[in-house]
Amino acid sequence: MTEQQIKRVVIAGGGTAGWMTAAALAKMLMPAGVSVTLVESEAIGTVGVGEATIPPITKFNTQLGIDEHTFVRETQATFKLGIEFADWGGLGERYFHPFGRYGFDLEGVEFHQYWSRLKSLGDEHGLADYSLNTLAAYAGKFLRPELDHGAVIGQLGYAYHFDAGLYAAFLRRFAEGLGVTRIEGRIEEVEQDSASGLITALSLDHDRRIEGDLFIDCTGFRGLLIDGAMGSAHKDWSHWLPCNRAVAVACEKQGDPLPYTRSTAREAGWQWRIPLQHRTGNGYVYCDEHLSAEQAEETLLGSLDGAPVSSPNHLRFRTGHREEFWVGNCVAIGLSSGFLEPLESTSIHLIHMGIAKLVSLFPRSTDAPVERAEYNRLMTDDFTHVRDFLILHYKATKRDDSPFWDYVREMDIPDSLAGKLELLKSQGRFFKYDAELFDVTSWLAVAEGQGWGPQGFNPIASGLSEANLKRSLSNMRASYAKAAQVMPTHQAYIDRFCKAAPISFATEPA
Amino acid sequence: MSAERILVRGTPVQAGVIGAYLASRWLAAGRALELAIDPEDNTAAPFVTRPSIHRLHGEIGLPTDQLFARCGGSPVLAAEAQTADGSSVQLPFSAFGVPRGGLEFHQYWLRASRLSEQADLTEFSLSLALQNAAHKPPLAQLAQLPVEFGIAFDRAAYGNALLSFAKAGGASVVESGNEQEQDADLVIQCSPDAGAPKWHGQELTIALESDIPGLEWHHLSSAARRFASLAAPLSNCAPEQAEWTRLAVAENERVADMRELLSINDPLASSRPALQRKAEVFVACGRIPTEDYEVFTPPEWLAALWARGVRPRRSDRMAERLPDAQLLDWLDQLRGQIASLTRQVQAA
Repeated sequence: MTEQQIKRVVIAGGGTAGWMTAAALAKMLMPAGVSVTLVESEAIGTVGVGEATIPPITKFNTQLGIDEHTFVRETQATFKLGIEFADWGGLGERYFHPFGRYGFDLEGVEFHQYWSRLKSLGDEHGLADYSLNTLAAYAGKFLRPELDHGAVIGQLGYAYHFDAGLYAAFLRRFAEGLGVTRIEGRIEEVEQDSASGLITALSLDHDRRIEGDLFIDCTGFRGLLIDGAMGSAHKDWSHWLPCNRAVAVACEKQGDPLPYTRSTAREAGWQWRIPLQHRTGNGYVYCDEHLSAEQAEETLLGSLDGAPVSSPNHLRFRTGHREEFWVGNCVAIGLSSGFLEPLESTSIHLIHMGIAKLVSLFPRSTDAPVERAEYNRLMTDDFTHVRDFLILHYKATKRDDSPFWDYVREMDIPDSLAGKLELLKSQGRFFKYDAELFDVTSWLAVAEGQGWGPQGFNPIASGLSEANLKRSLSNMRASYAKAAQVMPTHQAYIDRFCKAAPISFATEPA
Repeated sequence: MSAERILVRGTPVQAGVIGAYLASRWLAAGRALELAIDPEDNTAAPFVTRPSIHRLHGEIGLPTDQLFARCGGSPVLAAEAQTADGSSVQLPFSAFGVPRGGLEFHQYWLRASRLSEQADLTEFSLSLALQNAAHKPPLAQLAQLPVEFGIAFDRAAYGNALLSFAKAGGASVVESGNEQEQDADLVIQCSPDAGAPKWHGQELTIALESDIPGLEWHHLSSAARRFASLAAPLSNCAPEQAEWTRLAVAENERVADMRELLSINDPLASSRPALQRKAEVFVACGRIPTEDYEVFTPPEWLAALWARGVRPRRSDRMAERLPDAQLLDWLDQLRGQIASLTRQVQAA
């Protein structure tokens, strides 16, 4: 096989995945002599996946050297302190998955063990009373934690809601500023070496040809390169995550934007609500075996905060991932690599992880079987960890009001999840795998919020006297309540530091 | 009568580590802890601990500096292990050089060594420089330096100190043979011949290995910490038992990987998949992939791979961001700083 030095990276497809990849590779690898070219066509729409993110996105932006307030302004972003889940455990119930931790550990013992013990003594304060993120979110407050803000506000974790289209445009400017070449054009053919099967070039419309050494497939669900040319099979997880359709629509915003995403469980899936500075994003993720597209659209449009500002966009997807994310000299990043419903806002995170691992394992030549195998192993782990956490939301429910909920409540779950749940339910034990994204706070929030929380506590938590336990936890609650009280409102923070220019929907490009 | 009773069997230092931790973190009203000591500990070697000792001492309130003075303590900045060919290799607890721009130092070294002849990678380790210096710096000074370190204790003195601490915390200490095994809800057995760690029924076996200094400490301390973290009513703890065993076995697999790396001629041909992957990825691009529940740190793996002659074919592309002259200057400066710091510490 001919060994080709990697000097030219070609990214097929713009959108969030394409431009995130272009920006990161430009920043990290162009100084090392690698050129980056991105091919996209304005004639092909992007899914605009994401909009809601999780805290590691702040690290991605920081690594690129992006000023946070500029980014927020230019993407109509708002800050996000967590996710509210409504009607998941049972109809009429709600809970909050915060991005910052619960309480403070005492004497080296995890906080939630003390909380469980206090609960066993009859105390009724919930985990939310020990979460600054939750208290601030429900009070509509936000403050970016700084080093001199102290330990309580220092616990605040946050991410963003943003307009994915504007984020892609923002990163495009950034990447082009670093020297990325953008080519407008439609990919008509993927050329491959007949002997090695490696991709040699993309043939574009108007008889143009873009040669490269390494090709990144950011063509979305189509997977033009990874599937069409390289034939990487799809690993299907719809048995555990049966939703396979979504309908999305933006509406006018009403009032100040809330600093959190809302996920409301519906008859055959769930509905998201994502507040931005200029509008509110909405969507209904559902299973078409239990609901028609018309019914889903009707439900969605009937539950908007304001008037729609776009036409409903219907999407079809398959939950799962590529058996191989990297085949030959082609790496799939974004929707082309796989899809997990955005229940925990992980779509953009999985793009970030794909990029980070590619940079870490960036090959010198096209003959890189070891780097490829390692990349595929790590990405499979990432998808699997997220999958298990998503399944928890469906499995841990009491709902029996529709065939959809009957199915997910009764379905088998992966062994990896079953073992974890057993430990968590018994006495709040949680052991995180090294590369696992969601930590004990996240697992506790969802399990407890849906009625599958710890039934006991670690006996070590008995080391604190009852009086001291009550006093310590009471002090914590007071500290969190006070901190939330003194924080500025989310809107005031945005107004002060990063207010975006208003957009008129009458003139906004589609 | 106590509702729950644990019996720990081992040499003074083994029962001491387990006993001190459980006395501090598990013992409470309604619980009893008995330590049955086998006084026949003929091991002459010091009891070597890894850097995690500082955390464990902190968790249970043991004064490290006092124990250091009372128990013949000496800092350990790298563990020295034997290879199959009889040579020894030092596994430093801290990184070689300093990372730059999110990239490990050895990637820059690899690139520099292709530009011009460089001192061996081990010359860029402050840990190794201090470990091999004639005099080790005092604890207070070490704590100010950017290095991780454990402590080697006189085995008998440290064991006795921990037993005293456990006793003060409410544990009872008896000589082996005088214990009351029939009343124990759980027997914790510290055994060098156990093969695999296991918590099943009323017996928890800690499989002790000591071929790499610090391993015995690691097995004891993580067994105690993990047990306390999982502690459940001993009459009803099947999930906790399974989880304890799973985690301990997983760690043992990682230790077995290191043992095999040190003992076989061609790590790339290892039959252990995780080790083979480590070696292959390292050769391919200089990265050291980590598995879940690693025991050894990346610098230790790097040192072991290096000592066994495994070399990357190339450096990371990101190392090329630094211009040649700047790269070579930086390496020179770094080596000079390590030498200078080591001299200063010696002179202090």
